[in-house]
Amino acid sequence: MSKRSPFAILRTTRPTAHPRDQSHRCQVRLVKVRSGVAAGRTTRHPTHTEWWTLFRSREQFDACAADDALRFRDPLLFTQIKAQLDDVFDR
Amino acid sequence: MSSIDEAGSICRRDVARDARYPARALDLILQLQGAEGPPQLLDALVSATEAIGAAASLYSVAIPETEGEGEPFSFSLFACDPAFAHRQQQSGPLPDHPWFRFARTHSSPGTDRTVPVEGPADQEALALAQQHGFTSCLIVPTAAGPDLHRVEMLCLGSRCHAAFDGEDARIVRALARSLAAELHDWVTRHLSASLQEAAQLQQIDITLLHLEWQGLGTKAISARTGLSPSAVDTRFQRLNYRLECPNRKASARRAAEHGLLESRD
Repeated sequence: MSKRSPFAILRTTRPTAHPRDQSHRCQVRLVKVRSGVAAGRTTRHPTHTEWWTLFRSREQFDACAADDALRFRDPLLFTQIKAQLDDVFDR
Repeated sequence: MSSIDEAGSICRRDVARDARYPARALDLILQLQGAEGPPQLLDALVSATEAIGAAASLYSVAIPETEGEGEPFSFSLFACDPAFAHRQQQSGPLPDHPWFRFARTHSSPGTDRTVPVEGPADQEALALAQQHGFTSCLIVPTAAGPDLHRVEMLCLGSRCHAAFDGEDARIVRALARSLAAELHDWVTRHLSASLQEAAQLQQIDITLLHLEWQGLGTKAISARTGLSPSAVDTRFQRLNYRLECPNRKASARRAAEHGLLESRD
């Protein structure tokens, strides 16, 4: 992505290990887009998956986080994402 | 800007009363090709979904695992309530969803009325979707090409019952097909470029994979490329390693499934 792009990559987390399976890798990217913040999650092993969803508001993220297993599986990653989203939506 | 939820609170038929709506929707569909990456593609999909008059949409590509031929892969864009994306991911792999099963076995679009429900898991999956803007839905399968196992589908959702059925939904169904085709083109280019970059493939590598995909053996590939037979074998060994595949047949299939060999067909 060029430096002139209006869509800044806000955050790229380091791949994190699933506590129960060290081969499971998860990476989250947050990118500011016109209608909100796009969150992309990539996992490797046993299946390579990449999926993107859009948070239009902080409230949408809070609603998701309330029952998101990521919050419990990986509290550090969850805290990082929440802090970054708070920062974006507070601007 | 109206949100997806607000757009979903009105029926598609209310939107369709505006005579200019097909042109506006088509204009936004055409803008998909300008997306820089998946986040911008998702943003454009959200706009196109709203312009069509749908409450939500989901586009997904799955390359299932075939015997000894590399790991399964899936790529999905959720232009809908993010809570649906999270809950769906928690409930099981998307390729097991009844919508995906429909896409695997059909070439023409269908609505929620035509999706077979085969057990409690299907009922739970569809109930979850109904809670998040897919009360009724239109599933548009996309053909990946001959001899490929890749499955793609676009699913448009509405908060109204039977929003995609009947004669007056013809425009919506036509727009949905256009949207699915544009998404297919973009995602194919993206998957192809991603694989080429990840495996650091050069043009000669792609040529070798293409010839292997055509079913040629070492001697024939050697004659076509001017490489010695041992050089062909050595290059394939390196290719298999970089593509994380057990053999050259699997490597060629992986390249084909990701669209890397399309431009040479």
